[in-house]
Amino acid sequence: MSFNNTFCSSPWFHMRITNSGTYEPCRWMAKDGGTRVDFARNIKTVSPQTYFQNYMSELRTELLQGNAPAICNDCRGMEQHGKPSGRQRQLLKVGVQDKYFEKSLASSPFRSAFDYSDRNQGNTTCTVTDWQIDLGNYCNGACVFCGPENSSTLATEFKRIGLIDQIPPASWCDDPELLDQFVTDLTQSPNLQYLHFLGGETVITPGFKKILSALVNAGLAKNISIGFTTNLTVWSDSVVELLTQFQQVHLGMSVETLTPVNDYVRYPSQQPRTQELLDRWTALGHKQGWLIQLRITPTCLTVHELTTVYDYAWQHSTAVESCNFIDRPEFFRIGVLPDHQRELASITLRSWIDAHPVGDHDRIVNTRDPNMAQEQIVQDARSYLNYLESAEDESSRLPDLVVYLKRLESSRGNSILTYLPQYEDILRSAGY
Amino acid sequence: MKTYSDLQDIDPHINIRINLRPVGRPTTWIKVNHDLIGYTGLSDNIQLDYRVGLLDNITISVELSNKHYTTEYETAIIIDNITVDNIELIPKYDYLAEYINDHDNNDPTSYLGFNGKWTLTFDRPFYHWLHEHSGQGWLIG
Repeated sequence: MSFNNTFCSSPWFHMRITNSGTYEPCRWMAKDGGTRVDFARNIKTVSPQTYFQNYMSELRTELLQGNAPAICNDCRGMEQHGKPSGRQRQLLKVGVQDKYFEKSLASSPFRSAFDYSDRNQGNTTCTVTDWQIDLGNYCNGACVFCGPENSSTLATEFKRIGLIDQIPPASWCDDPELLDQFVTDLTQSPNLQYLHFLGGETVITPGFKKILSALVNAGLAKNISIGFTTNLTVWSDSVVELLTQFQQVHLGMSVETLTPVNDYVRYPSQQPRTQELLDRWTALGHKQGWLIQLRITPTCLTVHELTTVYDYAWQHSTAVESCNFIDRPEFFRIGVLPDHQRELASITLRSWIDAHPVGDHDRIVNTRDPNMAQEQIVQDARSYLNYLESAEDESSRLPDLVVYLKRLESSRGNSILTYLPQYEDILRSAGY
Repeated sequence: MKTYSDLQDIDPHINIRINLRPVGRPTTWIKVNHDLIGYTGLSDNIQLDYRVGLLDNITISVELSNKHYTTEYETAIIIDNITVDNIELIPKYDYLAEYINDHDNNDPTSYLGFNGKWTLTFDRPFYHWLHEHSGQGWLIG
């Protein structure tokens, strides 16, 4: 694999704090295949800057030497299917474009930082500019493909129906002292530019509001951009008021389909309310000049109705994007669909793409460019068409899917067949 | 490139190519960063090549002079193309050029029909400029 397919700039300006307070080098880090999370390095034991400058040196060295670390596997998977990866996005933030890789790298504003690390065993004098801050699992939603580590509602339900023995431990940001300590680190951090928050549902998570307020009160908001995703079940005037004081906001709105299937998958959403909040957040985003996106997590239950989201996005010139192809739980992967259903989904998607022609353009890595929203939507649709046509056949996992759905439905009193009657044959044959 | 260290072997210059097409016999001055790279009473198409440092700011100017409007009504110089490292910039980015002329007609164009000066400025290293103007989002640092 060539250097331009492995090198990533992210460890020179980005890091993540997870729900447990453990640090990780990357928000896109692969969750299997060699992930090396050092649980000893967390907010209780070491400052973020020390972790970033010292403990991430090995990763920087690997990248400078042209190696392909296992923790970067997810990005390689996305690139394979024509989806812009985290690696490509992070390179773009320091001016490195795939198409002009060598010259743009040689003239990158981070060139001297790369040179320094190359001479100093991966060490750096850079500081974190771009954070992913995981705020814990405080969430009013219980999406079927989510897990207890990301939804407190699901955690409670899982415990009640015996899918887990214990609910996940409290998040680091539920500890007022740790939160204060982190806020102090942030406000004293030079060159802070972007904070991306992940829940749970960020809008109702107390830590989100507290961090935003602290940055506003410290007079830093006008130089910082905020990114977050809402599940389209809540609205908060006070959070909106805080957000409007920041330099820029990257707003993600999670939705899987604009049909009742969304209610089953993003339980307990209700379609009219989802639509109302989608319209409201979209209108606010356009009014404020925010960069807005519809965030999807296509699964075997939703991929055939994906075009309803693309339609809305096309009409509102709003980008659509998933962070990744879903990996866990394995039985929600698109490859679980039998050939016939995959073919039907492919036909729908191909027809949609054919009906929405866009001009020739280079591959869009800056997926938030509002001037390229429609081209980006088609690019996203093409990546899913490619995935549908080439993903490994995992239909042997259908019985696992059925077992899991029946367990959830016993708690929720609903049935997948109410929403997806066309799946009756394949689900029945797998034990539904 | 196999490792980052191989970056040292990369040519630290960018290559500018300018293609001009005359209408009539225009007197034309072509400069890059105050260096005169072409001066001619053009009668044929001309291609000019020039190299500047990768991190240099760049100003490209094309100036038409001595046109007599009463006798040379059609005389003009057309900028067919400007490329940097084979990346085509004109006509895509001609709206970013400044065109000062004796008719105060300053609309974006690559057809220079008046006595005056057309200037395209890269006020930062070329690839940073391209990043911004091709909609690649924010640039850290």
